[in-house]
Amino acid sequence: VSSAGDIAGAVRSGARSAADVVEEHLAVIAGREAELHAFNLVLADEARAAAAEVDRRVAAGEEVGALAGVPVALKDNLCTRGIPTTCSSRILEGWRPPYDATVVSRLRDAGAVLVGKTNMDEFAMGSSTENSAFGPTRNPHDPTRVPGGSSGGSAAAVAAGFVAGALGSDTGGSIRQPAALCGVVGVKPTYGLVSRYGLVAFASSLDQIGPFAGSVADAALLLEAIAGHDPRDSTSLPGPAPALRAVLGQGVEGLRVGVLREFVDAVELDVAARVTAAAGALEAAGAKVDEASVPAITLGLSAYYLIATAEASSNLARYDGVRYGLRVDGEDITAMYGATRAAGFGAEVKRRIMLGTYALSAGYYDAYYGQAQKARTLIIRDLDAVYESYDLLLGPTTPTTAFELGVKADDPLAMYLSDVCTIPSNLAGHPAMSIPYGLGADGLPVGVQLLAPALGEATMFRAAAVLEASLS
Amino acid sequence: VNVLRDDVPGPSLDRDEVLAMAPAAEDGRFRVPRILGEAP
Repeated sequence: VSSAGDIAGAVRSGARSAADVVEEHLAVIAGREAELHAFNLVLADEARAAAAEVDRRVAAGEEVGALAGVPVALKDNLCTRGIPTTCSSRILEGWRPPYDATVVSRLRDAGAVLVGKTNMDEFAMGSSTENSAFGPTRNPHDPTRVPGGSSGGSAAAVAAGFVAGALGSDTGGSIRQPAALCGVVGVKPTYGLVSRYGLVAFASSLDQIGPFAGSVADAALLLEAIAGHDPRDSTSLPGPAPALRAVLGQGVEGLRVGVLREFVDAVELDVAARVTAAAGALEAAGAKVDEASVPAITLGLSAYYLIATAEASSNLARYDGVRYGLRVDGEDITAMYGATRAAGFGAEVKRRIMLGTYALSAGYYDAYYGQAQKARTLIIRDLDAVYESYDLLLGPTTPTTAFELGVKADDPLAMYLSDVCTIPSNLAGHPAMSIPYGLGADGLPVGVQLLAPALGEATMFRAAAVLEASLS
Repeated sequence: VNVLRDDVPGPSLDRDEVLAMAPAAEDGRFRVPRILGEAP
């Protein structure tokens, strides 16, 4: 199975047909999907039709875009017109959105072939994809282990070779954590770089869409295709997509990289050892590497679970059985609301709605939500200060390699700790990415994380390319 | 700095397409159970 860049190049030149490429990938899916359950829905017929259209355009000499014929998967919280979009929740089962998310339109316009909608933790709330109403996804490297989450289906689909790239969403680490656990590249862009129009909202001040790919260059290709201003998202930043592929060969000579002490201290020794190795590789390539500290970053986990739940409690109020999705009848409207939400939401979603509602309640608002927002400001201030001395920060993506299914399913706090190293970038709105960097003591993939200040994607991708090259 | 766009009407979602996804609709509107204590 070849890379997204190779596929697009071959399809654009006519050396390979998009139809053949999609059949090859559908065959890989047929071989392992029953075991892994990466998808909520495989769109075989639609993918074949889209590939045939790409081939027709190539034959006619028409422009086909940078992702011509590239099979991609979409997390099932990205709206696809006329195609079910469930968020892995019973409450949206069967719903077919009346519009496409902006990222979906952009992928189609670039010639990508949408192969399916991927499994996730319900409404993106979780770190293992075990919170899906449709059953868990399994890690392609070891099916007894979780793929991480919440975008576990997208990460597993790329790791298994089902698709050449995928999109996920990252509210507290939901792209980077599963990327690390599945051994693929995952990017959370700067808040506002990628339009959220058509992303089903979880926590609107934290949510951001980003790519999964098998290589740094493919991640750059995908991010270039989906980034850039969108008038339909009021938080979309002005300006076009950044040039990323063009800078991948520029190296890290002279870049100042800080190894984030608070993150390294939070993880298992075998994971920390890979961070040390990555730091050595950047230093060998000419970067100036030393230890950095961002003390307030340790407030991140607590602040996040108040802010994200508060925003979720507001966003998820829309699932009321009136306009779309599940309705469970009741004798009056209040009974209908209650019955619908009781039947439609899973346990973790209910837990977070209750936590968030409490954090926002009169009399407790200042003590919880208000305090959390102050902590968020401190984290941003400390990160801004450290970026006066560093161009990038380096750390682990996750505390451990992929854990076994079930071991954290009944312990929400243990599960929340999986995101301790990824949450601060969401609170700050900064970009960060996970790059596979060797194996842990158990032989499973370890991801190292690069963090950059707002709109620092180009610098971040340069360092990612150096890390990737240092492994081969 | 004014960051608002010009106040120009644009297309919106098709009403029938949206209502087709509702659990219950009637006469171009969402239908819901009774809200107050009136007879159904």
